[in-house]
Amino acid sequence: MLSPVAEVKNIWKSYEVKKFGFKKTFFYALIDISLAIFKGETVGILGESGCGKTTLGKIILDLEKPDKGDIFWFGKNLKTLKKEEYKNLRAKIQAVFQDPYSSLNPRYKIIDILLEPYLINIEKNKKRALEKAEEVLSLVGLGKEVLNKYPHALSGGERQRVALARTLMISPSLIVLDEPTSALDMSLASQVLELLKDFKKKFSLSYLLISHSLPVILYLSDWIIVMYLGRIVEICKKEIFFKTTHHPYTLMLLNAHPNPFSSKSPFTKKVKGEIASPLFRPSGCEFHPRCEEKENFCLHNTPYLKKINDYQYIACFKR
Amino acid sequence: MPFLEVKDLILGLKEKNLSLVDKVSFSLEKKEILGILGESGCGKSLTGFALLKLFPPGITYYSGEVIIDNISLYKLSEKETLKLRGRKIAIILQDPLSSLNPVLTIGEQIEEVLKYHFNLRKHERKERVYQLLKEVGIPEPKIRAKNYPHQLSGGLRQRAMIAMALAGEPELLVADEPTTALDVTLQIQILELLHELNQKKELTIVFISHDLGIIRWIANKVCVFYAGEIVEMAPTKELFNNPLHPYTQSLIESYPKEDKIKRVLKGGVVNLLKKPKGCRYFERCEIPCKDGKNKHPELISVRDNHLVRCFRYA
Repeated sequence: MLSPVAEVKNIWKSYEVKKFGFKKTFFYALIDISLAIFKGETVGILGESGCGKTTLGKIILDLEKPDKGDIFWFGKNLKTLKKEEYKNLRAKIQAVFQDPYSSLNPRYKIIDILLEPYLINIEKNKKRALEKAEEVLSLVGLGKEVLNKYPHALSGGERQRVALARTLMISPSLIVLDEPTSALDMSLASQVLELLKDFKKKFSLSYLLISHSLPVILYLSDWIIVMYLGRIVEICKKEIFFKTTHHPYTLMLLNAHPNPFSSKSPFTKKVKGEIASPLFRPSGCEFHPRCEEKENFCLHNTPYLKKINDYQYIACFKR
Repeated sequence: MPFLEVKDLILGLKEKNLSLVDKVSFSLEKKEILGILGESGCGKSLTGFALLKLFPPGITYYSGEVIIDNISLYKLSEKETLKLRGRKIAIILQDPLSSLNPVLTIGEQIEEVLKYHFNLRKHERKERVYQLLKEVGIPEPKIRAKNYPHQLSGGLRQRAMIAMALAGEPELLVADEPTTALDVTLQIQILELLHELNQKKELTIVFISHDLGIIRWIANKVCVFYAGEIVEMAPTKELFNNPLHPYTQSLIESYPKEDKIKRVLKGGVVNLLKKPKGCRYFERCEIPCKDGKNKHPELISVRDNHLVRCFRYA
């Protein structure tokens, strides 16, 4: 079988916090997370802020080290990877972040921003790098004239395109997209989304898409992963997303989204409460304080991901 | 006489001879919710602030009229305006953390409004603060009133802001993207709260947002802004079922529907510094008309309550 582009197995990640200024405590940001991203596939991670979705992205990028668990890039465990090999594979996994204002160096011209990764990772040939830069810019719908500009001279949408162009300079296999459109206006967001979908087909790119926006996730993803308080509560294939029953939390997210095309008012009062602090995890099923279907049993027992069928896994006792 | 009437509102920069909000007029009945829809930089927030006679630094010119309940706001003296602001009209903003005072407790900040506008005894004010916090759905109001903004979560902070805005018992609330900084689950709760206040307290709301979904469900009536102008105005259902302006059509079609985007809106908003002579949407228009290049279209009424600024309907 083909090995996935990136895979994580049983990842645990905790952070240390100082409580009341002196007492140190831990909290878990990720609990026993496993997932794999195959070539040409998009995995979308949906969840509220504080559910660990960005941390997971950073772990796959190897920007954060997990406490426990293994990360595989192209089937190779990062723990056993040699330095030279690591460097080669590193370039294949890229990222685009939420805020295009802070992810581009304000003192670099766009040309330097684009050329730097190419010169370091591919070859030290400025002429060919420049050709590649022009090609990539036209792919993202920008003209040559931006090359000599500084990031501040570009609009938010153009900056996000530059950030995307920078990753494309070194022909990556996987791009981690951390809220790529949430800082953009709706018309610009749809432009960026269309580009992303286009590239996915053209270069058979894989994406790990992190977002709290349901329409964005549904638009791009093949697999949808819903996270709550550091755990995966549901995995669902996009094709069956609208034809199946979901985890109560997924249903809550679906209810919370005001859909302009729906015929039903979203004001149903079905969405309750806020995500708990990972410092004070609820007992049993961590979603129970907000769950509509909870029973006594859920207060004391933790559900684990269960296979419903080939396309869906849910962590809930009631499913 | 409508409850709120805005007539030919112009806001701009005098030295550059530039209007950022250009001849905006609309009216609103009591208990209605007006949605203002538009991209960033289209003047929707400026219009919102202008309803309170507040102008961000840099705005050197304003003209037009804002009439609230038969009071012409721009004819009042500064002292009279202060009495009205917070009492008759209140505003809630996008980011509660930067619009709440970090060194005062939530209770103190709400009390300040009560002190200014009402003649209440201290214990009465305290009671009112608890009552307000309860009204906006903050649990344990007595404890929360003693909290500082940083001790509250994002959702509670926004609720506290709303409580503060409601303290003066306003009749008109301007909500400037009040949910953009929040998670979807909190967003819907805040929207439900505003919806309820509108129903129960007959609060008139001007809701500014760039999110189609929110506007669709919260507003009775929508103004679509483009480059400082209203390009289309209609009752919500009519606007979404039968959008007339090409910009509105593109906006609706560029919203992802399951896994499809029907049409992507190309390009960006026109640069007003270049002073476009013709239709401001001309460069992005999919079916540009001959007239649009040099002539500027007027807002015309196509059918009942449905106004559009486009030559196609002239």
